[in-house]
Amino acid sequence: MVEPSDTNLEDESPVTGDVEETDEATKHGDDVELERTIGLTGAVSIGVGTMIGAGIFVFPGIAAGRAGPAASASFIIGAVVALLVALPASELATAMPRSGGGYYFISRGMGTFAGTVVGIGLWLGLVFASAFYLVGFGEYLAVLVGVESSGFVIGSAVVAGVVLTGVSLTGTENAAKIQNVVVAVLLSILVSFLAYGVINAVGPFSAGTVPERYAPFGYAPVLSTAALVFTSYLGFAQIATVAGEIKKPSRNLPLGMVGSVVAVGVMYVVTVFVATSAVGSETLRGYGETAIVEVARELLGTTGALAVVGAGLLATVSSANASVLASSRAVYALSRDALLPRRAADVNLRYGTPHIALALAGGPVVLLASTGRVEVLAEVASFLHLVMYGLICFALIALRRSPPDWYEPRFRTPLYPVVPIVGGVASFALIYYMQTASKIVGSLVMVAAGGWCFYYADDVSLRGAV
Amino acid sequence: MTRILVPLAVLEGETVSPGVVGSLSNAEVVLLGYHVVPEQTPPGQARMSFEERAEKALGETASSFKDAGVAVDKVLVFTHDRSETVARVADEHGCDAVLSNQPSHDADDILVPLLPTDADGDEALVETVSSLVEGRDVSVDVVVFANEADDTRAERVAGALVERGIRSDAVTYGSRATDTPVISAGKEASDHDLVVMRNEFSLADLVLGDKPGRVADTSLTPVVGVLRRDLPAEDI
Repeated sequence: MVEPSDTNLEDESPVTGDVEETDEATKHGDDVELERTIGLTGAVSIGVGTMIGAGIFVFPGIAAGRAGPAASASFIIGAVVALLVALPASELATAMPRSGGGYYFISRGMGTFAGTVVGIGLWLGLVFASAFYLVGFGEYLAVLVGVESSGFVIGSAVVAGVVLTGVSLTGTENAAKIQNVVVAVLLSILVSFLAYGVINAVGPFSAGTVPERYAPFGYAPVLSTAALVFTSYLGFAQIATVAGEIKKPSRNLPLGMVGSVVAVGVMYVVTVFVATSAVGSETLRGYGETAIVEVARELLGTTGALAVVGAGLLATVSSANASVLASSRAVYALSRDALLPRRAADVNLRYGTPHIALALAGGPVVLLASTGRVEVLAEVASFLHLVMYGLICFALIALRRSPPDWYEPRFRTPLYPVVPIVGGVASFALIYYMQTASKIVGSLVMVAAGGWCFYYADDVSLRGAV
Repeated sequence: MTRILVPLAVLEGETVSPGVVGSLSNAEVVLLGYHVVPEQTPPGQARMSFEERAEKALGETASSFKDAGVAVDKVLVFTHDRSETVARVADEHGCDAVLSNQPSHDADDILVPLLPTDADGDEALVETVSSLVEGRDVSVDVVVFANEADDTRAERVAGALVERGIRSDAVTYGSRATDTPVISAGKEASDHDLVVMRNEFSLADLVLGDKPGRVADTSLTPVVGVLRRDLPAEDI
């Protein structure tokens, strides 16, 4: 299978060259190869590890406070939209298993301008997401040490951001293995906690649930809550940002993306059910971001609460870390295509790490974390991702309608064209339900990205564009 | 002809010494320049920064083989995982053995250690040794390392080597009683110029690393680790 190349020798426009993809490596020309080393477990761990921090450890309280027990419907809507995008994304990823994920698909499917806007949107969207996770981390640390001060929350978020960036700059070769272990530990804590919660709510010895109407505030908040909590589904696309490093991409990319969305979607819905059954949505609202800790305290006493605090710290920090790394990969993908200066992709020989790309990710994360605005950070992250998701769906349609000769996906989206059309429209529709502040910030980022494209990259034409 | 994979950490300045070039002068060499990057670095990004420098260093090593008349294929890989890359490239290029590199000045004196973990099927080992030694003035010591000293297996392997045309006065055999065969083989190897041994996997390797690598580290002698081929296991 020969596909569009991604090399550019100078920092002008990309040049062409033949590339062969195998299950284990990407081969450039005769004798330069890039090893694929991430298996299915690694892929799912990236997806789940990125997503779970938000959906379980930050949103249930806020969401239940806004929509009541119907917050579970908000999470279901989010899961459905995410799946409708994950399927087209899987098809594109198997046709173009390269680093950069959504950016790469859109730049090849819809051209340089859309690609640049989405690529910069992806970079900064992940920056917003990471800042959001870090503020969540700060909230959990505050619960752990028993301090109720927003200064402490923000301070620890900033410190954690600096430490994370520093660690990834100096390079730990075992980062992925640590991530796998963290996700496994998290999942076992959560599954036991949720199983206990479900039995407690509906089992034969049920202590009864807090009686409440399903949608006490009507159904409009269900949609706006879906727009808010969509941040908890952003992780599946992170799998596509490391597509170039995934073994057997035609099998592992679709399985990893769809599988991780389904896995976390089920856990989110169960979490909201357990939380609202145990303490009621009015109480949850009062507890805010760390509401799930109070649910654990209610169900399992102090030990349970402590376990959940520990899990929350792990989950938020692993989500933040995964997002910084994915963001740095977006910078690399843009720089590789000469849409950012080539220097942005430099790797230093001492640590073997992309210091400039990591700083371009970690620096703004720290800055944004210092605002401490959980909901706006989350929504702007979702906004920028949703634009990309919508365009992924339309890029799929564009590529299917006039496929270039390299377009040979191993996975084909079922129910085409219904799935990409509904997925695309639904992605843009969710944006409509966001807070005004988030829409303004998100739009500004996109306008700036468009401006950058005209200023810096209007002479770049990406091969494979239709 | 034997095809041998020579992996080199090419950006860390690893090269091959004259003894290694001489020892492999009968072989086809697949020169694998690799660079391991941490998880946060996409291999393609490392390639953007380092390809030129790595190609240059790899080309220099390739020339030192070519100058000695050795056929060389070269490949440059950016990876997160050295062992995966070595296994894949060895497989794709149909290599019979992998070199664990160490410096050596001469190419006169080969140790062939036989370990208890690779008790049956020494065919591939004999094949590799005889093909490396063919037509060269080299001495070969075949030594069994096991709990009890017993020359039988060493004698068989030595006999098979002579049958393949190695001068019988160039081949010696013996055995050593030891509880730590790999370490003893490493110590024995330190006054040789090259080790040729089989690379049979056993569970301990997960923790300690593969046996040829351990022998090379202990002895500071280059080791050719012969890979398992699906040959019929027949007595030799």
